Amino acid sequence: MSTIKLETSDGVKFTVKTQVAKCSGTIRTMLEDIGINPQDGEAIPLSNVHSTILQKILVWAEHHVDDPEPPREDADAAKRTDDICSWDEDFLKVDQRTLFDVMLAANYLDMKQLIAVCCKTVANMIKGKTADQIRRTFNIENDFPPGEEDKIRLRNQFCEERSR
Amino acid sequence: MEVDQRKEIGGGDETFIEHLPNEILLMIFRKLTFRQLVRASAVSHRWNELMFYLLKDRVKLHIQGLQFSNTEEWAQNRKYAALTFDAVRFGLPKGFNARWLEPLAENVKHLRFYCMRANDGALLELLRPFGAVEELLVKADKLDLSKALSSYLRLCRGLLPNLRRLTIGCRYVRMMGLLKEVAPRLNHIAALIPVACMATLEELHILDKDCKQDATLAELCNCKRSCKIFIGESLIEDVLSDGSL
Repeated sequence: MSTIKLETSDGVKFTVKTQVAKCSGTIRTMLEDIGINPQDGEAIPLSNVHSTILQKILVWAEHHVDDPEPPREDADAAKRTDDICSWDEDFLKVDQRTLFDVMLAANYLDMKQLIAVCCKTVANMIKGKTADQIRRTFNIENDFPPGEEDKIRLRNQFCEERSR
Repeated sequence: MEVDQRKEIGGGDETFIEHLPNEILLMIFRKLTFRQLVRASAVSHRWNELMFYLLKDRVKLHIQGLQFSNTEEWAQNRKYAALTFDAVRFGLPKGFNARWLEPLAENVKHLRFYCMRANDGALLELLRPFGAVEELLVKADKLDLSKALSSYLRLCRGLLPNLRRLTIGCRYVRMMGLLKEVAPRLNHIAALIPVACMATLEELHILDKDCKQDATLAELCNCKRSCKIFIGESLIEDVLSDGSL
């Protein structure tokens, strides 16, 4: 089975099944369009990805390598966040730093399905929470001047969905 | 030199989501429903900006009553494109001052105004800050006249220079005869009854089903021959009944 080498930002080399590596749109483009020859034994540098994160991502790619292409989502399906498979749910039970590093790397590597499932996971962390609870969950600083937050709340009362 | 991205991302402090680029945050936020977006908009300045970016085409400001104060403060940096002004229970009294609406009005392209009873001068005062409006719906059941025609004319002139579409739900509207003065670029009118319009009009919808379409109607309305006249269009009635009294 054909393999290729990937080299991470911290200089760690991974030998990966070509098929698994092609879960990344970025790598697929390098191999197919630009014509980088994996048989050369030269590692593809992934200068934006750290080895601990790539390792994690490769576990995900290995598991999902045979997934069929997802159907194009319509607007309603795009809002769904309750359809994360249990394997992915367990896979993403990580600390926030790792979760967001995985998202950054998945974005860089152009792995749409992985980003989608990460987005759903984070969205689920936001849902049902007040602004204050969201801030505490993600340790976000409240940078509104004192009193302005109340005004924003007030302002939001006047937002309404357009009926058409 | 190799860059350890984890150090860059970590940055020593304890928040990690704030290091995501806007592009990824927006991907996350697109998974949220409208109400969740509104709620999350109070998290921080950055989130507020991003939420408004996602919502700007979907929100309109809905103002009820005339009891607002400090509009400038809570409306700053908010360029609403659509505004509904619901003064049904309050009416629009003589001496109404629209200065507090100015901070919101600048970018409003779609304006709806519902009112039980309005003073004619007050109605003009209400419209005064909304120079950018392209589509206007006014439903005022009763219009009280107080201004002399000459001063009324002066107030009307160039009031709504960008107005293209007007839906007007008043049985008697003094402004109608003055449309050329008020909105010189108007090309689409929907009204309850035949009204004297302007020669540049391209479409006229009359909501009164009993109105007869004949040559006198076109003459009455001062339409040119190419102007399309529709009578009793249900589509327009829907517009009028939307959010109605």
